[in-house]
Amino acid sequence: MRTDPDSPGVVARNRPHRIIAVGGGKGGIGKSLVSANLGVALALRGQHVLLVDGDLGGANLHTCLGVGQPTATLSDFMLRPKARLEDVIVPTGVPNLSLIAGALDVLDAANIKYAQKQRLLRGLQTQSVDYLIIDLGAGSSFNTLDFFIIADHGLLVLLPEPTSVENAYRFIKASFYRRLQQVESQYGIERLVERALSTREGAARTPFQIIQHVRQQNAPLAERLEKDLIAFRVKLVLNQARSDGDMNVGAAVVSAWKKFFGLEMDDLGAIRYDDEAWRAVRRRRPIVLDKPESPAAIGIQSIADRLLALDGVTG
Amino acid sequence: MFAMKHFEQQSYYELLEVPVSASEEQILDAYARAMETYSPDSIAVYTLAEPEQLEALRQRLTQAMEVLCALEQRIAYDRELGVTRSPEEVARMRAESLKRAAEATAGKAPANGEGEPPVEPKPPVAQEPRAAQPQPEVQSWSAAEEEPLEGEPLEAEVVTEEEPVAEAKPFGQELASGELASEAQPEVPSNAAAPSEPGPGPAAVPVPPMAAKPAAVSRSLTPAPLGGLKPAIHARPVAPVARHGSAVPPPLPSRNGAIRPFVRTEAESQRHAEAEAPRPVSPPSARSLNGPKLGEAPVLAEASAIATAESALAQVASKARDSRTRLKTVVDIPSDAEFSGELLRQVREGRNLSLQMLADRTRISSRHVENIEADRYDSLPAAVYLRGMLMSIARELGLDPLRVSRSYMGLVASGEKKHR
Repeated sequence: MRTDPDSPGVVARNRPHRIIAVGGGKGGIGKSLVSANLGVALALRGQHVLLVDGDLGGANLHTCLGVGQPTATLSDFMLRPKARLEDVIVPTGVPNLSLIAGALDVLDAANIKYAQKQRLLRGLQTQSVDYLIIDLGAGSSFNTLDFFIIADHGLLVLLPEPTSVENAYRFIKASFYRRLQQVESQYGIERLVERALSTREGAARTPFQIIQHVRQQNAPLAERLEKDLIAFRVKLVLNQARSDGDMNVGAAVVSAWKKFFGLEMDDLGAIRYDDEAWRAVRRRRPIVLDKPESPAAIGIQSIADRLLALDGVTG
Repeated sequence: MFAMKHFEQQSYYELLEVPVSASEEQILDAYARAMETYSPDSIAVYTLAEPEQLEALRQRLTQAMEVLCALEQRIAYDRELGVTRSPEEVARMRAESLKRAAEATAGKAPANGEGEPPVEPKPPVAQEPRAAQPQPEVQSWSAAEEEPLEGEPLEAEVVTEEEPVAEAKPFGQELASGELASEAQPEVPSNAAAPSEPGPGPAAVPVPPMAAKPAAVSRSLTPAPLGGLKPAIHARPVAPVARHGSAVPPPLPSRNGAIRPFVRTEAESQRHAEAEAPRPVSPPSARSLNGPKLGEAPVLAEASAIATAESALAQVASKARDSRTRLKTVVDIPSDAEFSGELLRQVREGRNLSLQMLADRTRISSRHVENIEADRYDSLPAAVYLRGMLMSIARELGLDPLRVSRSYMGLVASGEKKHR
C-alpha cells in the first residue's frame, strides 16, 4: 500500500499539490483528531504533509500529535513581518510529517487583520509539499471560511447529531456564499449575495435560484456561473458513527444536500465511534499510529486512500 | 449538465438516484432508502428543508416509485423522457417484472438474494441460486445500458440453475422459455401478460410444489424438526433470555440501528454470531488489560474518572451488541412464509412491542396498524400508502421490507379478487 512517489528533496515545487481544509462549524466534533490522523495516514503513504493548526482561537493540534509545547508557532509568523512561514515549521517525529502549531499566546489571534490573513494565505499556498492540511476552528467566521474555500478539498466533519448537522449546514452555506462573494462582481449579483449573507430569507436561497436570477439577465453568464458553482463540492467525513444506521448518515446528507441545495457533495466515509480513539487522545498519540487496527483508525486510513484515489495518486 | 435542479425538476430516476437501467428491485431499494432519508425526523434534513418541502418530496418519491415499478407505466414514462430501450432490454425488464410478481405471490424467499430474512439461517439449497445471482445483478447495473443483451441470458441461466435442485417451478420455466423465444418483439405469453402489474395475476399460479420444498429441507437440517409443512413462526423468548442473561427481552435498537439489517449476507451473520458469542466476557478483560496502562496517570481521581467513562462505554457497546443479535434471536420465520397481518402481529409480539409502540415508531396511525394486522383489506389505505407503511413496519420489526410488502400486497390483491 505505501508508496514512495518521489525521493525526498528531489522535487522542488512552488506550491502544495493539494490543500485540505478540515472544518465543520461546531466545536468538539473531532476536526483536530481527523486532521492529525489524516496527516499521519497520508505521511505513512509516502506523501509529504504539512499540518497547519488554523484554529486561531483554540490551537491544540500539537497535542493530538503528541508534540510537546512547540518552539515556534503561527503567532511568531504573524507578529514578525519579516518571518517566513518556513521558520515556524516544526517536526512531528513522524517521517514526512511536519507541523505549524497554532498561536498559543495571542489571545485575539482569531481576530487577525485582513492583511495578516492574506499574508498567511499566500504563505500557505506557496508551501512545497504534497498535502497541506489546515485544521480549522469552530464557527463560521470569515477568517475560518477563507481558509476553507482556498482548499482543493474542503472536508466537512459531521457527527450524527442534530446540533452538528445544523452547524455543518450553516458552515457550508456560509462558505458557499463567501465563495460566491469572490466572483459576484463578474456576474452582477452583488445585491443577491449581500442579502444571502445578511438576511434569513436571503440565506434560504439556493444556488439554483441565484443562477435563475442571473439567467434572466444574461444566459451565457448564468451558464458560466453554474459551472463555477458546481465546482463547490464539499467532502463529507462522518465522525463517531455508533450504529450501522449512523454509517449511512453521510450518504443521506449527500442526497439531501443535492435535492434541497442543488449541489453535489462527496461522501468520503465514516469513522466509527471508538473507545480506542478516546484512549489515544488521552495518551496524546495519533490513533493511526497507536492502534492502527482499531475501527476508528481503519476508517481514517480508508478516507486517506479515497483522497489519494481522487487525486490520482496510485497506492 | 443538469447538476443544479430542484427536486421538482428531477426525473423519477434522478429523484430516486437510480440509473435508467435500474431493476425494479433497485428502485424499491432506493425508495426505501429515500423514505428513510426524508422522513420528518431524519437527521440529514435537519435545518435544510421545511416540513412542507419534505412532504412534497416524499409524495414525488412515492409517485416515482409507483410509476417505475409498473412496467407499462414505466415504458410510457421513458418514452416521455426520451429514454430509448432496445427490444432486448424491454424483454429483460418484462421478464424481471413477471418473475418478481410471481415471487411476491408465491411468498417464497426470492432466489436473488434480496429476500433474506435476517431471522433464521436458511437451508443451504436456497443459497446456491443466491450466490449465483449477485454478479449478473451488478453487471446489469453498470452495463445494461450498453449491453442489454447480456442481461437476458443471465436471467435465463439463473432459472435453469434452479432446476437441478428439483424445485418445481412451473411458471418459472415457462417464463424463461417464453421470454427467450420472443427476443426481438417481446410478446408476452397470454396467461403471463396480466402479472406485469405485480399482484393479482400470478395468484392463479399453482404454489404447492414450492411450499413443500423448504420445509423438507429445514427438517433435515435443523436439529429440532418442525412439524408440518409450514411451521408458522415460533416466537423464542427463551433464546434471548439465555443469551443475554436477563429476564427482559433485549431492548429494541434505535430506529437507525435497524435500517438495513437485511443486507447482511448469510456468511456475514454467521461471522457476527461467532464474533459475538465470546464477547460478553470481553469488556471486563479488556478493561483489566488496559487498566495498568491507564494507571500510569499520576492523579488517582483521573483514573477513576476513566474507569467510570469506560464502564459507560462498555454499556453502550453491550447495547449495540444486543440490537444486532436481537434480529436473529427473537422470532424464527420460515423462508416461505407469507407475511399476513397475523404473522406481522406475531412478530411484533415476539419483539415485545405494543401496537401503540409500533405505531409511534413508524409514525403510522395505530388504526392503520391494527387494520393491517387484522388483515382487514377493505379498511386499508390506498396501495401507495399501504406499501410504504408495510415497509416501515417491516424495517421496525427487523424484517425485509421488500419481501414483507410484496407478500402482503399479494395477499391483499388475491383477497380483493375473491370478493369480486
